[in-house]
Amino acid sequence: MADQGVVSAEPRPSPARGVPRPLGWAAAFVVLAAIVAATAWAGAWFVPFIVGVAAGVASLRWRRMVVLAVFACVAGWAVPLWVLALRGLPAGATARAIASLAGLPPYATVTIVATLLLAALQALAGAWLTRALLPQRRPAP
Amino acid sequence: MWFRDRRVGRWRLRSVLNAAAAVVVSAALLGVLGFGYGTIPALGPVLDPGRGAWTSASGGQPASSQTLRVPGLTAPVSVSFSSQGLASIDAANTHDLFVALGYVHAKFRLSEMDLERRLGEGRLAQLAGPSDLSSDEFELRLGLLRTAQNEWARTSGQARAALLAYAQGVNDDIAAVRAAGDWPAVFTLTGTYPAPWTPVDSLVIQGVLTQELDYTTGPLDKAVLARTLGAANTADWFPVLAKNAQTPYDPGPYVKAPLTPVAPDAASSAPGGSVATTAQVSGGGGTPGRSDDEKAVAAAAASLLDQLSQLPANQIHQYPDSNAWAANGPAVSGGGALLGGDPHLPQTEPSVWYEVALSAPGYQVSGVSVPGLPGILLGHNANIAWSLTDTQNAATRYYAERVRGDSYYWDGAWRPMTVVHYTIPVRGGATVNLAVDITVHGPIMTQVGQRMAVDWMGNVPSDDVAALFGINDATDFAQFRAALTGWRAPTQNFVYADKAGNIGVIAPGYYPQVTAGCQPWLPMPGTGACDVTGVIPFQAVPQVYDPPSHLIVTANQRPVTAAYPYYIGTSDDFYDPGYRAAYAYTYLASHEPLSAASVAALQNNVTDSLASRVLPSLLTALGTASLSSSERTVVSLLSSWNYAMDAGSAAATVWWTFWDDYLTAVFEPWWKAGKVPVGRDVIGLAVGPGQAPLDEDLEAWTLNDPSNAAFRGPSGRGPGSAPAAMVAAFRQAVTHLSAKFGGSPSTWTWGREHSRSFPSVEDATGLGYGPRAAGGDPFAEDAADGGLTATTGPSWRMIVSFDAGALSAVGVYPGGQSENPASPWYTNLVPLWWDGQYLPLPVPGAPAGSVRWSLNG
Repeated sequence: MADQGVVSAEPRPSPARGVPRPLGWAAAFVVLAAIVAATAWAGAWFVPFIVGVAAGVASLRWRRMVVLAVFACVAGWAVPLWVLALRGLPAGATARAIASLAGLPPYATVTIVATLLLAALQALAGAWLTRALLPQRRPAP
Repeated sequence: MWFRDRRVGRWRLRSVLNAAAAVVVSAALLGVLGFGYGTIPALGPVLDPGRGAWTSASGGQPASSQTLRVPGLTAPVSVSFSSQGLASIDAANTHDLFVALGYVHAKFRLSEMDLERRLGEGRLAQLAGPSDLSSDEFELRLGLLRTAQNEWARTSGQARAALLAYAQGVNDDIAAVRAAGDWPAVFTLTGTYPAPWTPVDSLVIQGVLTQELDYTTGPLDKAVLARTLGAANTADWFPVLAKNAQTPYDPGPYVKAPLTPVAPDAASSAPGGSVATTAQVSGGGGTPGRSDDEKAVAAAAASLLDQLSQLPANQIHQYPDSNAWAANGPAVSGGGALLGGDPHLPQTEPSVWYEVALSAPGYQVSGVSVPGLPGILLGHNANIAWSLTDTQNAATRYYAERVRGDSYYWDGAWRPMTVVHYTIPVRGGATVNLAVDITVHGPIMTQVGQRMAVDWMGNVPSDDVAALFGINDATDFAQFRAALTGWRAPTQNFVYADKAGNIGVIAPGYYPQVTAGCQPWLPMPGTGACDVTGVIPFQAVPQVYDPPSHLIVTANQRPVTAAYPYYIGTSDDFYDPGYRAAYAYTYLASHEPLSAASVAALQNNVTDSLASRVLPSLLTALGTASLSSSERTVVSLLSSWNYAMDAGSAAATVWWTFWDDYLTAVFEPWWKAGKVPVGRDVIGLAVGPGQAPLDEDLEAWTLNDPSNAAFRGPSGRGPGSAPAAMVAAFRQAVTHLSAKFGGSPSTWTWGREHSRSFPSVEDATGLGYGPRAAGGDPFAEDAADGGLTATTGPSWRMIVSFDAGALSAVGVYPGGQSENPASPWYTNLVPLWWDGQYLPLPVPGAPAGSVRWSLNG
């Protein structure tokens, strides 16, 4: 039982193996960002965490997937804010008001940064959790 | 091999720790984001960019023409808006009119309305956390909610229908907001959303207004002062009648009519009158001890003052600063009638007012409404106009109760107290249980030293909504006056002008009278010996109609002379010193025939009338004193000053600093010698220009009694006379200002020392307006009160003129119609107000502007 979930050391895959081409990375970024944005509109604020979990799994094969996921989540949460501004709604003033009401310094950037940071933190936490729980390679003797 | 095992072991340990940390951090992160922690909101849903607080941006966009569904309507209603946001509502019947008003109020002021009702109902901590628990406990003890429930049980007819319709309109908006999810940010941030609106909520808001206008600590302060300064000094320096010259609007002759009887527990706020019907507990309780033990009473007073000092700002009455004037006949250009009104209240963003015209068959009114209440509080209809100032009469009585267990001694027997239990939900904390004991006098407010109950006008059921409909409908003074017979609280001077060229004023309300020989300006014994024996009858309350002077001025001054046959309060509990009233009478009389322009000029006038009275004496005293060159420069500034507290005036700064220092030089030694615990109630106990009786005393002594014993101080080694004290205070002021500003005295402008600030109702940094350098002071018509960064002043300026029967009305308030800080209508009216400009009031039945909402049921 002690070794359950632990795989024995094996030769590493070659660096080239499993690395998507740039187009593939871009497609993954867009798809993830779109998912995160759409689910934000639906009120599913926790989706960046789930994306992070998925990225953690995927990172076993594509090591840079976590970084991509974090940026995709930030972009995904930025999209609704961008749309808010495009619709002519006072996004900046609203951000300032939210910061004030929350007892934070009354600047729009505070709320905007806090919002995007939340997406990034969730994604990172999700990825960390997956990486920590998935079977790890034991050090070579 | 052993080192390999150790390495693997360390790796395993690191893996386990890493996994544990990841699980804990992820769980904590998701937990805090999903559910919040303590007062930290659930940040996930709050900052969700698609559904969280960000959606409040939709309430910040400029209003546009649209069709909206309001289920409570029976017929279509039109709501139009001017480019500044002023609203006009046109309905087919009064039911729909008030549904639409409730809907529009909620559309623009939902969080303000919810905050106000939470304040009155003791539910602020549920929204804001433990910091507001003391406020909730105070309010639940005081009983605004119980009184509102009692009032609602008695409300009938048109008022009942209007309150129900109004609540329906508010709830229609809440339902729409809930469906769309675009809540005002304060709700999303706290995760606490508004409950459905009820008529009781509206009546609670009426109670909050009464509390802010009329709940006072006067008797408590006086008990503390009497114990520290001595009874003789307290009686001399805080007299019933002010020592200085006053200008009452009702000079008499007066009617001495029998008191109107009231039930013993009229102001108890007990649920369903349970105190009055309580049966006696066993009569053999023995003889009660002294219930007026001075030491215990002072301890109880101090304890209650401590509680009150922890309340949010402006929750109880602090500054008397409203103006309302009327003129007619030969005093007015054209010979008609003219009315000007500017109620001075805490200036907040959003404002306490919402400007609107209301139109339905038989109901055509325009003016300012209070979000949360149906009707127009200050404004005009086609025939009459009215404005209000606070009457200031003392109607907060404190009773020291003799208590044994759960009983109190009253009227010769021990009686059980009524106990009401509350649970107070606290955001981020444990729910708090509160038991409120109620005697025949009212709720017990403190149990330290002495159980102290309070009897105050805000707990007297008052049919204000029906009275408002009456005056909104009135066509002449008789109808106006008759409509106010049911008005109990808050006691107000209703200033009136009409199309026929008549003017008047009447101050209906609750004027409690106690047994002769009792001292209502101090806490009184609760044995029954000093109970309220009745109230001043309606025909005898202060009132005037078409005075021979053709002028009426109300500015919170004592409205009657010393010949008035009833007790209505002392100089500290709590009339204005009368400088604004006196100046307004002089100004108006000297500018006849008056026009709207002259009234506007007076509303924006910053002349300090006290300075015009006292400064000549100061200059005389300085004329014989040996002065330094900088002091002589300052004297020359004062000598050429016009007494205007303009932001650019250096003399204004010198005057105000001098007056403060003069008060300090004369009274502070006495305060120190008596060890007055000023910290318990700075506004009520500290020496300073905010203490009306001290201003009045010092003015009167300076002008008429310059050798008063007070100038010698408690040690006998004080300045000895008014001139000596003035010279010392002047030098102190110059030294103080030199150190603070340096440079030439001509650069010590008032705007460097004095500003105005309009904080947000949530007291959130960045959502208010200012501080901005400003003129004015508490003694000016354009009053600025609350310290050197003033937060109280003209909350609304209105001028209505009837010229040959034609009505014109203008007004402005320092705020905006929307509570959403992102809205272009949040503070858009402030610049107009600041510059002394006005906008025409929306006309009932006419579109206010091109933006139009079509409301359909």
